[in-house]
Amino acid sequence: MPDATAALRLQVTRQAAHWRAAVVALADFENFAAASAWANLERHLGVAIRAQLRRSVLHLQRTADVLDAELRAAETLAELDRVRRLVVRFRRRFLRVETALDFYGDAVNTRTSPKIGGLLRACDILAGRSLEQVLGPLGLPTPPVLTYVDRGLGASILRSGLRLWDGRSFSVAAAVKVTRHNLGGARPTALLHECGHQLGFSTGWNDELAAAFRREFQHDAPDVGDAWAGWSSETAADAFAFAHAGYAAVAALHDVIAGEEQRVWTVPPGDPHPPAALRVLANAAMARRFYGVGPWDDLAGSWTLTHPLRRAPDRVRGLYERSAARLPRIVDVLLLRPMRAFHGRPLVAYVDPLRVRPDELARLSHEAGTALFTSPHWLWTESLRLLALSGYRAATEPEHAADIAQQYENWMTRLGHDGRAAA
Amino acid sequence: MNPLPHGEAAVTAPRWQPETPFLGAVDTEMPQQPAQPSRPEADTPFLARYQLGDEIIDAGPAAAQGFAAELLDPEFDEALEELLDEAETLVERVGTDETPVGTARTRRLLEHWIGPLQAEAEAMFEQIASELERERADLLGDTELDRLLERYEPQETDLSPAFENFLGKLKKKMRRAVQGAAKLAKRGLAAAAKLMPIGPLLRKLAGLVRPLLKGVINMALDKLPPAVRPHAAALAKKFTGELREPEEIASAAPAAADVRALQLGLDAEITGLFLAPDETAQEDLLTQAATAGEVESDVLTELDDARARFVERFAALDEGEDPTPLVEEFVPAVLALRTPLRIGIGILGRPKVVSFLARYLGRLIAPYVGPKVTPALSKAIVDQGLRLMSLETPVEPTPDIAGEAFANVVEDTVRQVSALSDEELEDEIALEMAAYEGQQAAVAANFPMELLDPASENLETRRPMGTWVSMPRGRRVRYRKYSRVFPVLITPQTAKAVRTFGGRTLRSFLRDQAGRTGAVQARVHLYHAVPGSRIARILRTEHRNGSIATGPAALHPLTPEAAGMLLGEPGLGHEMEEAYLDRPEPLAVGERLYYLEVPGARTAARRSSDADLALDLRAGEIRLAVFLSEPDAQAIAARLRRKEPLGASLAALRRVYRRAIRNAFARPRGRVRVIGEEPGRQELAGGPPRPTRSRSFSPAAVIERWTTRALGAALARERDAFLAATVADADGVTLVVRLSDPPGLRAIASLVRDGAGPRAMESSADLRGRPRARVEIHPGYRRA
Repeated sequence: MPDATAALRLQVTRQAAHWRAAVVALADFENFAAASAWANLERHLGVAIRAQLRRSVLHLQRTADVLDAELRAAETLAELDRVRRLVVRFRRRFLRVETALDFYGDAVNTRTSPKIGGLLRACDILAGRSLEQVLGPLGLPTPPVLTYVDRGLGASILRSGLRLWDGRSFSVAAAVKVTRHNLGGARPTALLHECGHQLGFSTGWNDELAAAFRREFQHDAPDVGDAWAGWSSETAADAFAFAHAGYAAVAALHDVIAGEEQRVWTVPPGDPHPPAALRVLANAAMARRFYGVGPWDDLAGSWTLTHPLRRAPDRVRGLYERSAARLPRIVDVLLLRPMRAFHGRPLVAYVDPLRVRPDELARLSHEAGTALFTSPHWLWTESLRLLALSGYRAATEPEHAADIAQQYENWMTRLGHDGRAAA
Repeated sequence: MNPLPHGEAAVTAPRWQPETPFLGAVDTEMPQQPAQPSRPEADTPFLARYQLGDEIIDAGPAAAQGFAAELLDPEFDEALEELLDEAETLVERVGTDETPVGTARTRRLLEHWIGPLQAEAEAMFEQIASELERERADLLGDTELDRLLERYEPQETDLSPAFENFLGKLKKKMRRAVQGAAKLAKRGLAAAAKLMPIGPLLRKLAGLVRPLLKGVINMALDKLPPAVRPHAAALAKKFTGELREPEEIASAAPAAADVRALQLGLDAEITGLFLAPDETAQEDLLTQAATAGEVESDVLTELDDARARFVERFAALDEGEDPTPLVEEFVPAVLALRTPLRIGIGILGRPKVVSFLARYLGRLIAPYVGPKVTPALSKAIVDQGLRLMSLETPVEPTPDIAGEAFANVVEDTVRQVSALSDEELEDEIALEMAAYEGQQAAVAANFPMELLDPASENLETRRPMGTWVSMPRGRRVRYRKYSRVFPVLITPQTAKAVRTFGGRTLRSFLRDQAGRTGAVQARVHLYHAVPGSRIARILRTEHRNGSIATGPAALHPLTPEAAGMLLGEPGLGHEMEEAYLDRPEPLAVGERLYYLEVPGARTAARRSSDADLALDLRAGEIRLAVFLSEPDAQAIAARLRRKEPLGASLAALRRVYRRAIRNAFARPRGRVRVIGEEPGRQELAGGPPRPTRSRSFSPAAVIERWTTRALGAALARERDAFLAATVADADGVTLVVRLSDPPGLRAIASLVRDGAGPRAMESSADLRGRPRARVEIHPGYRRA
């Protein structure tokens, strides 16, 4: 049936041509994000992301070349049908690469406005610094971090080193979503929580922490050990954020997870997040362990008043009460327990929460004077402590919220402007 | 490819075989052939034939030196550098297609580009001259002068930022010139008195703009030779006493002309105009400046051509064919870049030496020519070097690759030999030693380690890592890059120990320029300077290639110490002469540098802490401007707010001015500005100062002591003023220390003027006693 062969060839050829043309469009990254948005990336980050995307598109182009060759070589109906199936497979690959490009394009495109671009560049710097402080001394590479803004309550991360949608390439940068309410509200400390996930992934800390929880409670409360082992990745990220930002991280976390009554008590099976009822208390316990008495006590007291553990569902109440009684030990495992992941040292050996203790922040503020928020020196050397300070003030001085937010926006914009990519 | 496939060729060579750095042996011997006719001396219109000198300048060298010294402005260098960067970017965009026609077309384009700036600058001189038409500068106060200068408005409104910056700095220079002339006139200096009112003279300055901008264009087109001094720089040396060319005090040749030469030339021409005895002399000077601006040099293009010919002919050689004639043709082009500066006959005037070098290197290369050998050699070079780099187009292992490596060996060896003195060139043993050492190092630097004798002590690294690759790829090689990039963790301790240009530490660079403290992860890119290398050019090419991503635009000297501490491979470093370590440009041919790619680094350039010393004989004072970088200033402010004892703050300050004062006296010519007349020897009590070993009378130590006292009192008294300065938006803080009527000022000035060098550190001059001291605190940067 030569006619059938010709007809199939025509169909397959048209589809192959269509997808080849579509690949050409993929290669132009400005189809996914405006040139001005790409220019708002720090150069190192932009180069890394574009190189990764270019590799994916190049692979797709090579696959398209192979497809063309197969099509030219196909003579029989069976051979043409095989090529047709290859086209379908190619289409799937295309969509996967397109998903990756769309993801990064959308992320980069949130920088189109100069103001948001500046704030996000500052977030990139803060995130990179937070990771380098631990990964650098461990001799591990610090991945570039691309932050982007999106709606919603909570932040999220696409970790660097993960296999991407195309199934073959790995993300070269960590992509962190920060929410609008936090980016503009003087406390994007959730960014640090997400970086904690990257740290856990890069160092293997999470698994070791899970084992440490099990070991710690194996004799007196093995169910507590098991439960916290399951929540280890999230509590590790909380601990990392706390070590960098102190009470600012605790208060910001509280405000995000407070409110949804159902999630306060239970989490779906397999969810790595501890129930809010315990998570808020665990974070407050970190502050109490390192700083003594302070506003975190009020936060914890108020939380307990609103959500007393006796209201927990019967099936978990016992576990929660046993956990609450063991919070100081949980905090110690998180922050003070030597870990192989950290070359036999605890997390606080790399990130000392005492540097963001309220009185230390006050001292920094006094010593640097008003230059603290304007001098490039302070912005670049103390950016993480500035975040802790702005967040602390936002948490404890709600009556000055507007001024604090303005001050935060000013210093973040300065930092972001200074870190702008060279033309 | 191990060992190197040279065996058969080597067996056929019956002659004596000297030691070779390759895995195997090659042969050579002293020249047997008759000497070749010598290349004529390069015909240069510079230095020796320049007519301006003492005969038309009667104001006395001290007055001229003081006047010119006041004009020198580091920010003018930066403005010229910006212009040059724009010009070179334009050249790179349009290309010159490497023909005279192409170059002429590019030149026209550049002239068209710079035309509006020239017109605007000339108009600025005209407009300001009109403002000062009837003004006596000596009767004008600074405020009034500023008011008159402020009236100038650019006629063009859409000038590029680089053009606007240049105009601003040119106006600043004009202001200084008028102030300088006023000071001279107030002192009753005859030549200066004739210049009042000053308007007509300022109009003449417009004639210096075109030659200056022509110099920028020539630099962008590689038509200013690196080692041949423009006429104006010769004048500059005369007026300022500054040693512009490091090659005068160092054996390595500069890689390219630098913008400081252009500025010094302009300053010298302005000085000449202001101090010329009459209008005829002024006109002569303007004519000379205009004529000199027209002069171009093609030495770099000729080297490019000669190298390309060598590579092409090398690739065409058959097995057993002698490469000596190729080398012999190539060597003079390599030498031409350096020869004009040499005192004496030099190598080009010694055909026997040229011939010896050609034969020596020809025999080294001989076993590796021919279609059987070069492809394998090229493949090894590509595999170990070029493939490791991210180049725009993949490089294939053609015979050209091996030819390029041997061309580099010839260039490096010949340059090493060319540093010999006339006496050494006459000495066969010294010559052979230099050739041997040169070729050993050159081969180790230009071939992958796998091809080299593992027992060689010249190997640059402990194990195979990479190789140096000529960049950009193509005919016009302007630097070499090491094919491997080193990821490193720079600890604060390492950063504190590694020195970069100007004696600063890597720690201060990372903190001030990159905004980084503590342990810093970085990727280290390595570079090797060749003729035509300039830092901005290297960085621009690397950025365009996407090879380097982020970090402050700076290269640092890769000394063996720096290479050892940062990379653990001291052999990749290059021993640098002091003269080239003082400031980044000009680079020395053979100098090695590194770039720190620091993710998350700040990109806005900031100034590092430094101090600037002036001995003002007219005002009878020593002025020291201690500039504290933003981090240093904020650190001191924090201590003051903590109400700490002043010890730590003063120690931080002293780290800045001690280094500057000691450097100034260790290499005084050009590092210390001396303002005012030169003291006569009879004026110096007890005769001219003599060197002494007593530390108590070291001028540097004494000035340091006076400064410490002055700053200690000032910080205690002016705490709030200092804090206010650190809160201002400006970058950093300057403390200007004025030491009035210091004992021994004239003796110190005399030592500095005499160019006493290290001797000036110690003097028998009577420096006992204490000057009156005053300290001014300014936000931002100020000169002394």
